[in-house]
Amino acid sequence: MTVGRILRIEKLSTFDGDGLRTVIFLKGCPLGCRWCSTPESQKKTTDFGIHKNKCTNCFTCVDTCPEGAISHDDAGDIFTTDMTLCKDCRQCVDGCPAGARIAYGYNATVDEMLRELGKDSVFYYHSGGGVTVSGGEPLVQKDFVAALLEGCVMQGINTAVETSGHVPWENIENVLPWIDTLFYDLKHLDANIHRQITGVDNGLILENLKKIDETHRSFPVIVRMPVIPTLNDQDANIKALGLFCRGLKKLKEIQLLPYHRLGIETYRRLSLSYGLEGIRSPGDDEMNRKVDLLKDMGLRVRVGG
Amino acid sequence: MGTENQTASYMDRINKLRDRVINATPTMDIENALILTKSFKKTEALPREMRKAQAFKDVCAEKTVTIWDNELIVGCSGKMARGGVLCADVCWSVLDKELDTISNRPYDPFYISEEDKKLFREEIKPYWLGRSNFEKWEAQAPQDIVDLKENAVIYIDRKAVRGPGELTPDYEELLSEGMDGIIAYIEQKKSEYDLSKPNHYPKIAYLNAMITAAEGMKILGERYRQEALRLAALETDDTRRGELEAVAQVFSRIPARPARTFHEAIQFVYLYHSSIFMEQNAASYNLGRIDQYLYPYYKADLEAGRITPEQAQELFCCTWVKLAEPCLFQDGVTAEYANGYTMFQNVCAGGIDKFGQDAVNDLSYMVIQASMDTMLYQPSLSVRYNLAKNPDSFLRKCADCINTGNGFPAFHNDEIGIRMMQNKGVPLHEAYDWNPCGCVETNLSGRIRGYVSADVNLGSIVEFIMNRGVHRKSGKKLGLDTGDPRSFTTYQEFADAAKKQIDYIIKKVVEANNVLDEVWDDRPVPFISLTFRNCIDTATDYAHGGTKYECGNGIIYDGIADFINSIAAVKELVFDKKMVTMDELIQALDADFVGFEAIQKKCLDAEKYGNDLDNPDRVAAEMMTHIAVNTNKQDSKYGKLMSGVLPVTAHVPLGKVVGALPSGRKAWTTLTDGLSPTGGTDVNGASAVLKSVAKIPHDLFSSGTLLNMKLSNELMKDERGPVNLMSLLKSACSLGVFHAQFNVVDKKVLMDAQKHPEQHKDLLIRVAGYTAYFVELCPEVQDEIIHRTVQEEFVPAKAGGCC
Repeated sequence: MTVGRILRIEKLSTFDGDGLRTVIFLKGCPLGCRWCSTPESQKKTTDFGIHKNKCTNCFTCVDTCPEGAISHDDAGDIFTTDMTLCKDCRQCVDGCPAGARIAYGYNATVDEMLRELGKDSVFYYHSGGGVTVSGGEPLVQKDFVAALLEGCVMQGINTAVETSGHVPWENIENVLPWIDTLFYDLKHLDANIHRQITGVDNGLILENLKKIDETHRSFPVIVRMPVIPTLNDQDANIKALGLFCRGLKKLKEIQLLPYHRLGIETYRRLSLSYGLEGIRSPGDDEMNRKVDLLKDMGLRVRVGG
Repeated sequence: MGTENQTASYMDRINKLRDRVINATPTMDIENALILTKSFKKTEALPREMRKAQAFKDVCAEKTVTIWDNELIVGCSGKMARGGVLCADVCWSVLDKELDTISNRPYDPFYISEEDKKLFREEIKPYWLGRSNFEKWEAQAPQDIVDLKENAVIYIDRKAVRGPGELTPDYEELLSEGMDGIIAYIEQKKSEYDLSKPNHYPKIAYLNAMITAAEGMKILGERYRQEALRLAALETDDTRRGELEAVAQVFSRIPARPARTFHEAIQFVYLYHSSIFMEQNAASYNLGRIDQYLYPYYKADLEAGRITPEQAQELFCCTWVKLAEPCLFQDGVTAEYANGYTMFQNVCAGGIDKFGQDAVNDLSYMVIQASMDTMLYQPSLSVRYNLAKNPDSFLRKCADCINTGNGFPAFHNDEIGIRMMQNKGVPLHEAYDWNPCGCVETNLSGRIRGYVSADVNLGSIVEFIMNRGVHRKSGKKLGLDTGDPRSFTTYQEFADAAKKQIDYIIKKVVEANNVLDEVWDDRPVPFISLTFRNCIDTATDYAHGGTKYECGNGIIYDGIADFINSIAAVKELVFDKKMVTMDELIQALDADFVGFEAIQKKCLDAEKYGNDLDNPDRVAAEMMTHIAVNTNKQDSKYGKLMSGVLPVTAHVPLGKVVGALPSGRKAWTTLTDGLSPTGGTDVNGASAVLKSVAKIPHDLFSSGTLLNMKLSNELMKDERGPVNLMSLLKSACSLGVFHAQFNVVDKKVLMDAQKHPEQHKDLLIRVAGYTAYFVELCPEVQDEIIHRTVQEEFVPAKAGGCC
């Protein structure tokens, strides 16, 4: 049975597809976006974090670790886990007296996950909702995602996938038969800037989206773009987005997602530095102006998911 | 967006009426008690039912009759808005004990003037000393019940310090017959008795008492007619004079004769409703299915061009403000168990009709709109939502009302309510007509008697299992010795011990109820009985088994989540995973986890009810089924006992006597309210809460079950918010959850209200099956509400994925 690397499940989500949905966030992502709000989703391996306001610096985690994988700095602020030693036994988490140590990531089989997703089927039924697979980049785990989505479809559960598109075409092809709605994230239309702000080129991403659009599948595509002040919010980029999207037959709408800083808490827990200090969320007026830019190009667009 | 319709032309009047009520200080009202006492002194030689009826008639004839400015609907149980009406015959001694403290007590204080104190001491107390119903209960309560009561293992004075309430008159019949029609019916029944036959005299005497009570109502109506005419004659404003003349016109018809118009009908309903409190003050006198029985009058008026929808809405709103006037008088301890002054006057919209078809009509929407317009803590607005039959537009109206944050409506799953009624012995076709009652009880207008009498503290039950029947706080053996838990080798042995403790406490409540039923027989209510046709048919009072259907008293179970989580933690930690030994756990509990923090952490980390997890939810299903089935097996004079989960605020005082629990809860802290998961333990969101809650067999708890869910105000920010809420409500119905109530308030507002109560006088909050002014609640309850887990799922925190 295929095993997936899961970050977490969020139930009754209303922002990643129609109705009330369960969203499964998978671990691991080929991109490294500077604004990433879920840094704990980037690595496929487990991440360990600390609730700073709960930690009492008792160092029980350090002492309990059977592999001696955990160390800390002199101030006791930063805890480092040597993942080459860690066997992921979680004794450090279970044994933390303050409940401060957190593990991000776990394994689950397709069957286990289907059982969990099925728990909310009555909510999907009454709301026209379903399951959304997100990440990280879910299509990195192509076999798991294909099997999971097939299982959903066979039970009559509506499916959606949110992808960065930065995966080999075969990964996408594998999953296409089981998608009811596709969320496709674009960050920048300029290849160089894209590389600067996400760490990867946008060539594969744009090419895959065009290919998806050419398939005979009839699902709608929703293109999402985060609006990150100074990084990708220039009118030129928004217009380039509009131009690209105008050519897509499957496009249902464009969703502009205003930058937010809710991820900062997780950066602190992971003792990671946050790359975008000083950047503020764009205001409603600013977002509406961008919406209008795209609307003027004849596109359907809205703010938020 | 669902907000009050401030632009409507009637809102100016409603706002003025509302201000008068909000700005009134709850005050003891002893006028009725003085009249009652005077009356009783004159009627020593008469049968007790006639004495009650005569006293009621005297109150009708002598009480202060006031029509306040701007009122279109008039009447008042006492002489003042927000009065606590004292029923001396039931509970004078309660006021006696608290005469000097009631103005400043922590829970639901009532102002009382020095002059009234003097009148109370000189006129009321000397006559009633030793005669009130509450004193009889105190004198006759068995000692072991007193021990359980004093240690808050059970709480059973609730319905002894006031009337039992929890009833719904047959308003359809009242409106179509009027007092004259009812009197004619009684006369006809009387003619079937023959004084020459043995045992017929009590029947005849009782029917005479009913006639006397009915005559009292007519006198009161006539007095309001005259008052309206008097004020009209003095009135200089033409519009207001016209309104007063219209009021007089209404009273020239009702209550003597049947109502013909919507105005006559709704005024008649309010007059009768407010008069019930004059006979016996109690919580939970319900107006029932007001959208159903008023509809024919509205429809006829509308077709005849006598009324506009806006005028009908205004009359609803005027009635709603009147219903916000009375304040529940009870002793300070009972107030702690149910605070907020709430009278639990339940009004209902929606559901199905007697043919099983959709009953939603134009008035169903107006009833909800009235609560949105008035934003008051009373009446208790309930809806019966029938998933299969009621339209989405009705559910949307409910969602819009929830959106206002006034805590209404209490949302009831119609199909479960119907099944609860069937479980009370009501045939299906009559169960179709059920109505919500009080906070979440089930009722049937004009046909059923049955009310809750006792609370059982499930936290104490856990102590008894762990400590061989010994109550931790008192050190007394108040439970059963079910053996040393250290000797249990399987979970089954432990679960069996829990069930034995429950059965034992049920038996004790049964014993107490048998005494109470006798004591309470001394509380006849001939006026209330007028609207219970079977009482006339059998010439038997409502209190004496005269109604068509009867139930034994109900037992409320408190601390559900604490109980389930404790049993589940023992199962998981001691038996399934063997992470802690029973001996270690007992030591940790004995020490209130001090020095045993690692064990407490394991207890807290054990799987908790409210997360849609198999282990705790199976315990919930198993234990709660046992509780309901075994309660419902018990016989009493008036039928099988009922069970319910509707703690009002009892979980706060009951927690103060409960030591540390295997759930990880520290000693002497509050228990969890209703069916809710313990605050902070429901980490999987609202759907998981509803799934877990649905594993409890709601329909077996025929006294009702209560679920509070707090939804952040953020929920409704998005235009899809109400639609999401509709989906959630439909899902709850599909799952078989009986009732859900939503607080849509954010934490910041509540915390600010604690700091600046004067700025939040009209902030409404769901407490536990009812709505109260937040600033009037005790600090512990306020803290609890603030602490409860906000369902964050609806907050548009962030879109998923990496963006």
